[in-house]
Amino acid sequence: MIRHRKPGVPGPVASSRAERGVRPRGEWGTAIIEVTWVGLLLMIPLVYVIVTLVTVQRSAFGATEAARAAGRAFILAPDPVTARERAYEAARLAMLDQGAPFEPANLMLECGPTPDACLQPGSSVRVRVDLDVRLPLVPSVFGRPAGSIAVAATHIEPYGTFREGAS
Amino acid sequence: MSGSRGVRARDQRGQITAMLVLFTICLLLAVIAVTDISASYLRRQAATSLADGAALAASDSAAAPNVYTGSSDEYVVLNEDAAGVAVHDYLRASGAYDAYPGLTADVSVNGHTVHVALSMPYRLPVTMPGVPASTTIHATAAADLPIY
Repeated sequence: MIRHRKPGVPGPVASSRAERGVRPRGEWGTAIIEVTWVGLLLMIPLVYVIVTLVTVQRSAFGATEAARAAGRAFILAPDPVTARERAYEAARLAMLDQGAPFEPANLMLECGPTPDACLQPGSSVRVRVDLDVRLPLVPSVFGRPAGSIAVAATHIEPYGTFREGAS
Repeated sequence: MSGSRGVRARDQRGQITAMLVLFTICLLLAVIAVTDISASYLRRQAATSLADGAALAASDSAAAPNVYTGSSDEYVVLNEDAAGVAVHDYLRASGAYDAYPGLTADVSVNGHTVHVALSMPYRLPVTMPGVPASTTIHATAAADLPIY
């Protein structure tokens, strides 16, 4: 049998809060507040660190691959002009695999032992990839990212002594 | 009745905070582990790229004494001593000895193929108590010189 009573009027059966299924006043809403504030305070910096780490390491991975691919593409080209174009394209594709942008200014090619010895027997090419990895959620100031991390990779690829020199 | 109710209220106070802090610490440890592992993998990738170039340089230099005389089959016979010198020259010229302190190279010639094995100590970017602060990175590469 269900007994109806007016709110605020103590009933004769359920005399205590525990018996009525009512939690003590001190616990009301505490869990929600703790989850919200403590969770936000701890999780937001942690998630930001994770995203930043992934972004930087992804670019570092891409930079190393780009330098290596550019060196290989350079020494397999028929002439120095084509070699530079292919090297840039190879580096751009390697960075594209990582979802990172790549521009000609990020790639530096230097032939050795002299700068004009490109694709000559006994020569080599030094490839350097320089990237400024923009930190996530950091706004731009005067068109440049306010926060960035420099990532670089270098690779030297020998052309080979016993090959015919390029024209 | 009121006594048992009061104890339960005290026990439950702040439990969510403790759980969140514990959960965050576990997550942080996982992030540290992933960071160290991925950084080690990146270093290994750089070492592999270095070994690749060193092997190419070694195959080229080690072939010099035999390229016109000691050819066998369709490949140039490689000289192991010359390959070792070429690898060290390559690592010196590329600045690898400065960039990777403790770098060592093992060069061997097997038939007409030169094998280069690099190893270097790597200090992990984030260290934790009870976990070794450094590891060793290994990378290998091989190259030969075919005659066309």
